Amino acid sequence: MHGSRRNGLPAAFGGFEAHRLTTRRGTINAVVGGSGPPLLLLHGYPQSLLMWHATAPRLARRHTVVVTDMAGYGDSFRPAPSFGHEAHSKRALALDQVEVMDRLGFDTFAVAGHDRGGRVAYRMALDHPGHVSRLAVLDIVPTGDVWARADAALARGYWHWSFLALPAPLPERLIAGDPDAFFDLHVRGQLGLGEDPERYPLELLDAYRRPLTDPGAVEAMCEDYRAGATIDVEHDELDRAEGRRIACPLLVLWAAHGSLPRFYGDPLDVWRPWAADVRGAAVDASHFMAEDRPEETAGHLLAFLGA
Amino acid sequence: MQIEGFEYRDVKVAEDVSLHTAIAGSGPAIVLLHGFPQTHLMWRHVAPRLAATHTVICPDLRGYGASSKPADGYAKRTMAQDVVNLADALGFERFALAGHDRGALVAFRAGLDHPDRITDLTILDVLPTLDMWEVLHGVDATVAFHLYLMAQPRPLPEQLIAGAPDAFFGFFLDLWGITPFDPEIKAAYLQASREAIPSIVADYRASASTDIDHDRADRAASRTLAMPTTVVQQDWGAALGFDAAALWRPWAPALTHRTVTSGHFMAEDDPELITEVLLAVSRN
Repeated sequence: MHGSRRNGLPAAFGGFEAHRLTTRRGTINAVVGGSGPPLLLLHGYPQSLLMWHATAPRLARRHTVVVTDMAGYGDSFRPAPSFGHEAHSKRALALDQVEVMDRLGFDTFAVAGHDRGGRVAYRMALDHPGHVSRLAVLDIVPTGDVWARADAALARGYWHWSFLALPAPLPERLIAGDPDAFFDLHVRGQLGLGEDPERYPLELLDAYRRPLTDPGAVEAMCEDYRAGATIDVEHDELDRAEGRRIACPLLVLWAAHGSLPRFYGDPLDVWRPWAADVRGAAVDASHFMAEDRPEETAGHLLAFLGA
Repeated sequence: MQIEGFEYRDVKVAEDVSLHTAIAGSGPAIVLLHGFPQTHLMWRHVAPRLAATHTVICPDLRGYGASSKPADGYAKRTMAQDVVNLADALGFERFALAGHDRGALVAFRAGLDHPDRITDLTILDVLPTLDMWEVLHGVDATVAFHLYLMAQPRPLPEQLIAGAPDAFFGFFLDLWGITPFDPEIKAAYLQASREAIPSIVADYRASASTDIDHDRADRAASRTLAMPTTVVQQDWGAALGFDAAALWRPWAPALTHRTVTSGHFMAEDDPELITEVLLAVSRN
């Protein structure tokens, strides 16, 4: 388990142990640290488990924290693209992570997910209610709601949703044509990654930039969004039609300076039909709140998990 | 490549802007405006047939093909003024105007801004900019990804497209037609587009801002197209859940609307149909 091939792991993960965990679909990369009730942390786009580097140690004081790369991202396995995008559906990505927790000996656990990881986390809570004790989602509303409410203003603001969901290989080729433009002008310039240089050492930004020059990583990222424009929407719509709801307590955190307040007003209004126990708060941060404001983000999560 | 039998002139239409223009025939004038990602060559099958009875004028739009590509000036209002100035320079007080795709948006704007100059308007396969933005909703709105991409601030779309221009422009040429393009014409469109990335993006960016404002002001003032207007469209309203004719009618009291089964590149997919449409407009 030691001797992980991960390099550039920030010193903050120093007390964590590297794991390679075998699931039915492939090997998931993880770091595990701390002690106490288990908590799974899932990252977003276009990142990896590294995004939790400043938050995870704070959470590890009271929890056994499992931080993973989702399938297709970081150093985890990359599913082959599939017709209908099932292999990158949030349902498939969630099942991988339930298996990871089972391998580590955790039957019931809390899960917190940011961005795409938030979509995997809420899908996990819907699909595996017996395993998920508490759910926290960071800066998202459900995929089905995003599309149901999408108008031209949203489509322009979330242009990468339409762009990355295009048939292969157009977005792959455009990103490969100028990965630095995509990272510097879109990920940093538009999504707001790395605004505070103190929070984002150059080594970390390089680690986020690097996958954009890796065709397999870019393909997986696009497949994640292709699933997000097709099969993930179907799963959400079916749950909505059949009245399936999130059974555990739900915490929703959103970026005060992100796009959720702009598009949805109060994001909790969008989540309320999905769960009986919904609470939440805005965090004074960009979309990348766990790195912009790790103390505050960890504080919200600890209060929720301890309640 | 050129349209066979046509004479080519670079006609000055504004300070520092000349339109590369193919001209042939005699009789009443008809101006044909091309779309994206193309040039005036898209009229190569239709224009010679019209030239038997008309003076046919096919410019490359500002920012496209071999016309000037200034950094600014891509509001449809400005591009429509180019067309009127082109007719002036060629000595035509009144003319019929037909446009496809981007060219149809220029033609629409010219029809609203210059009602005394345009005898008839023919619009191929667009909605007015304002209506287009309004009908886009839900997951189906992903089909218009290029509108969202090119609406982004400079230089994001310019740089992404420049990284793989043939993949980008070729995507639309392959996707939107029914009959695949001959390699020679496809290569001509790809080369022309590759050399026009900043101006093409500027054209689209204007349609995400200034052009919407102009359409909205006209709608608020109940300004409509005063001339007979023919709109020919594919049936993508069915897929996106809107009635194209119903959206066009408030803009064009004298509307003839036709839904056809050809692809988006209808002047090339079905030149007989489009020639017939344009001749019928002129007969009426």
